[in-house]
Amino acid sequence: MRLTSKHIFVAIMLIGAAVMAASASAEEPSARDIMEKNFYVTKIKHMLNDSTMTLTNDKGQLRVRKTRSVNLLQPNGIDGKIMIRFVQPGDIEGTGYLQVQHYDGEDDMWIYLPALKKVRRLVANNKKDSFVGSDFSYGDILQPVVDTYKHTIVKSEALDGEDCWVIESVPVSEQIKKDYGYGKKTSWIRKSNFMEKKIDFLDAAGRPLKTMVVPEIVEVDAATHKWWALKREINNLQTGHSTLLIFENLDTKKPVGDDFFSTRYLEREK
Amino acid sequence: MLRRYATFIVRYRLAVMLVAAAITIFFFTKIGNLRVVVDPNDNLPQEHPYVVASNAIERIFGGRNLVVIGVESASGDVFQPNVLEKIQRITDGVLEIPGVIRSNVISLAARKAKDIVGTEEGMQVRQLMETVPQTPAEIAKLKKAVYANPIYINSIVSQDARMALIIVDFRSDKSFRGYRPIKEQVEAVLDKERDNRVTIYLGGISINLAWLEIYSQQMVALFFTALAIVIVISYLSFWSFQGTIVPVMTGLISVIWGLGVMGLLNIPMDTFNATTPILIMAVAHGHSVQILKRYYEEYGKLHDSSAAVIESLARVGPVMLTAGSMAVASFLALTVFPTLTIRVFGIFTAIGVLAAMIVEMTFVPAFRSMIPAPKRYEVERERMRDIFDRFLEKVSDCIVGGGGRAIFGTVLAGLTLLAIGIHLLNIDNSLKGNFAPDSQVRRDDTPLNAGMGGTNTLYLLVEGPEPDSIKNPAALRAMEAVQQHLEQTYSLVGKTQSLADFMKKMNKAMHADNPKEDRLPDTRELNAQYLLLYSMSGDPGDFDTYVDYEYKSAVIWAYLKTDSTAVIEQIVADLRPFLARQFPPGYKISIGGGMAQGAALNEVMVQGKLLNVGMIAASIYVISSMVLRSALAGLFVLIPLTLAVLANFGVMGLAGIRLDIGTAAVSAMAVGVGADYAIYLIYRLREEMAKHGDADRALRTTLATAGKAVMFVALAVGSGYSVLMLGGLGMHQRLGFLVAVAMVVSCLAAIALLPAILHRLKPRFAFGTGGASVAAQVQGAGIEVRG
Repeated sequence: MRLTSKHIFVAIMLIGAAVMAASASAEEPSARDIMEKNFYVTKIKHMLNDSTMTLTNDKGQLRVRKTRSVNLLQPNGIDGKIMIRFVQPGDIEGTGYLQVQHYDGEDDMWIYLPALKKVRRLVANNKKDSFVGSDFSYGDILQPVVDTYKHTIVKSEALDGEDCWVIESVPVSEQIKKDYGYGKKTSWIRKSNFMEKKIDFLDAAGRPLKTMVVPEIVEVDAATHKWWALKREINNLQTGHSTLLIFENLDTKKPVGDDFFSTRYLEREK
Repeated sequence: MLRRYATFIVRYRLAVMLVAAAITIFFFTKIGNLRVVVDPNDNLPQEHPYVVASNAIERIFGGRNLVVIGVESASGDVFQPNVLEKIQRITDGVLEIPGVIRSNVISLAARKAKDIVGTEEGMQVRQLMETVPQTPAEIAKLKKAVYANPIYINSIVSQDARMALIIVDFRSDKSFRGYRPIKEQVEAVLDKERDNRVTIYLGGISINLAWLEIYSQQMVALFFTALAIVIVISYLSFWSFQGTIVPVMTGLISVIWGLGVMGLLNIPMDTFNATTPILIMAVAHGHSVQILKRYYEEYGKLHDSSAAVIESLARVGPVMLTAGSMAVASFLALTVFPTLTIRVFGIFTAIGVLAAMIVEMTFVPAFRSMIPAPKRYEVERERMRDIFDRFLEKVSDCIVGGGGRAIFGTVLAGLTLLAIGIHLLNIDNSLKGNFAPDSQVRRDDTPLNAGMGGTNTLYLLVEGPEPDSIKNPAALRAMEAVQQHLEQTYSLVGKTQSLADFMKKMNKAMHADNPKEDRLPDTRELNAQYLLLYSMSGDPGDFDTYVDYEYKSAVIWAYLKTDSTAVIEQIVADLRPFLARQFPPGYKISIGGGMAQGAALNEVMVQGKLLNVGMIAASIYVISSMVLRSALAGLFVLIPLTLAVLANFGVMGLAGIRLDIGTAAVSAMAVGVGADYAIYLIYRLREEMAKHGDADRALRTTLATAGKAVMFVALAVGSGYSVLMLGGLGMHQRLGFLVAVAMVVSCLAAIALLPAILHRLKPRFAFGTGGASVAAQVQGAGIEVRG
């Protein structure tokens, strides 16, 4: 076959198109890719931490709770096991909460009340329900898998000096909208590490519901690019209620055994 | 001096009229700023402990502006899909109304209506009805869940399941635009659901107050009806164009000025003050009639209109200024009242009367001198003897001839009757009592009260010494004891709710619904841990209406089937010692809520009423003693007023009308208006005595002139007010009736009793130095009256 100028032209065009496509994808991952990376960036193998949750109502009254938690990622890389021990205030000290997550089903949850000396099973909640009286819903604590929402990049912009993608996520079905209670989420995702910086939530009817900001993050595992938010603040725009969650004493080195996450352990009060 | 002034006014009549017209137009444009609002807070004494507690409760828990919607199933119970769907749509609908407190909306379909249920493994907290059940099995399950939570029985569904309730709460903050918009928006939601399957009832304090606003807005129509009646009475009094137009114009202009100043100062009109324009018109009309009567008298002598204008103003002007300033002072004295609405009434009326005086001293003489003089037949007609003259002659005959024995006897008999009435007087405020029995408020209230614990609220605010105090088992036990006491002792308390109900329910659920465990936890820790546990399933705002965020304060809600403040006062008095025994030291219990606020109002009304009447009487005494230059004169001026006040209370007692916010001000009004009569009468008597010194003749002339004018005025005011009886609101009806009574009594006292006593005692301030020692005669009269 003789190489004609026509062939060469087509070849050059094809190579050019391929290069352009490749370079484009290198610069601009798809919205789904970004959200998938965002989903996995906090999936830390195991971690111990102390946290302080400050709840503030619309009249400025506070409830402050200090807890100690242990987290273990399950082999599927999505679900976690969480043990939370309440430390303060004194009248709930020793109260334990154990959650074994199942992203494709209902979570298992137990609570131990020291004043009753009994472990009780909690019936699974709706994803949109409040997590321990905070402005986080259970669905915010265990994020649904990436394809639960359809994601679109709206634009790129700098937020407080950090380059972010602005991504709109809408539920793929009416049922998901109803279950999670959000009509739309708009996320500002840091380009440097895929951690979210801010999320605006609209309720199922499309009214502004909540705004979450994540001002402080830390890389807990450089090798696997895992990050954790040291501070999350969430404001409910409809009730005036807000939640501030601060993590301290993060420890991702200390090994955590699977046997730790049992109701027997829950009863130990420590 | 006044003669020179009157001459000046007549000379520059055109300029005077133009200025007056300009001022009137200016104030007229300001009426547009006027708002009619019913803010129940305006009626309340803000420093009263009940009101302080209610304000605190509203700030923390809401619950002040409740709307209660009852959905009654036409056949069977409410647990059928189409009725439940209506409840859901109504709930969703009211949640969208601006100003609604979303977390305080409760119904079967509300998110905060949770089923707390014990299972083998623990406790489950679920929304009662997230979606409307369709199959019989699902419906049976819902019904079972509802009745397993006693807190919801008689609160969101009736015991017999025939009626479901939706309770809605609204904010009264800066964005609050009155109750009428709330009612209209709720009705728009309900109208879509009304059909033959259900009967929907609407009640609650917000709806009652919305109706109060609507009826107040009726006052515009009533005002013009009153105006029409006053015009007719005026024509019948004087039989002339001038006699008809001048008093009515004086009244109208005074009202415009008064309203204009109100609009200018941005003082809102409320139900109470919506009747005030009629009062101002009546007072202004009264003064105008006195001068007009004198004008005719002078015109008959002088046959020159301008000269008659000057003469009548010079003669009656000082009397009017005296009487007017007394009225202004007495109405202004009402500003010491602790309730804003009465203070506003005092200021508004004072401005109106002041305006009437100014108009009568400027515009009216200018206008009168410009319009054609009365035609001869009009003057003749005015002079013709009519029924008034014949009546007044009889009175004169009785006083001059019979020493007034018949009058004293009648008064004595009347006083005995009134004393009985005053003894029967009942002090009670009932908002619903203000509405007619066939009104929507009263019609819907009966089924709503039957279907739920009660449409009237009484709240007990429990304030602990520090945060988390409410988790103290002793505090929760005390709350439980108070609830049991309320529900068991008083048949009118249909329902109570508090955090204690939820704590018991949770304890039971955590013990696998063992009925023995339907009790309060024994430790503070367990209470705290149950609440934490609840927060893992429920919503953060679920207990917002029962306990504050720091667990420092809690509220016990009691629903009552009556809104009578007399009943509530009895309950509160009885409850106080019981409360003191229940709670541990350091806890403060205050009483609030719609009912308690009514009781506060009542308490203040009793004191305020006495204060109010006493103050008006005192200011009238002081001013009239000063202007008549006799310490005794003031007492005489008080005679018609005292009788009018006694008649007011006595007739209320006899007719079974309660002394409440609406009727409380009647005596103040009656006194303010009635004072004028005595002043006009005494002044005319003095004038006649100065002229010829013949006491009998002076008395006859006084009664035939000033006395006749008093009758005209009382007739106009009384009939003007009686128009209120046509209004839809019981409060206005009673007001109209009582003012009419007060007018009759004070008029008769002024034209019969006062002259009879004056004639018998012949005090120096009225009859000059010719009379005997006044002190001795007063003593004699005292014996005479008693005998």
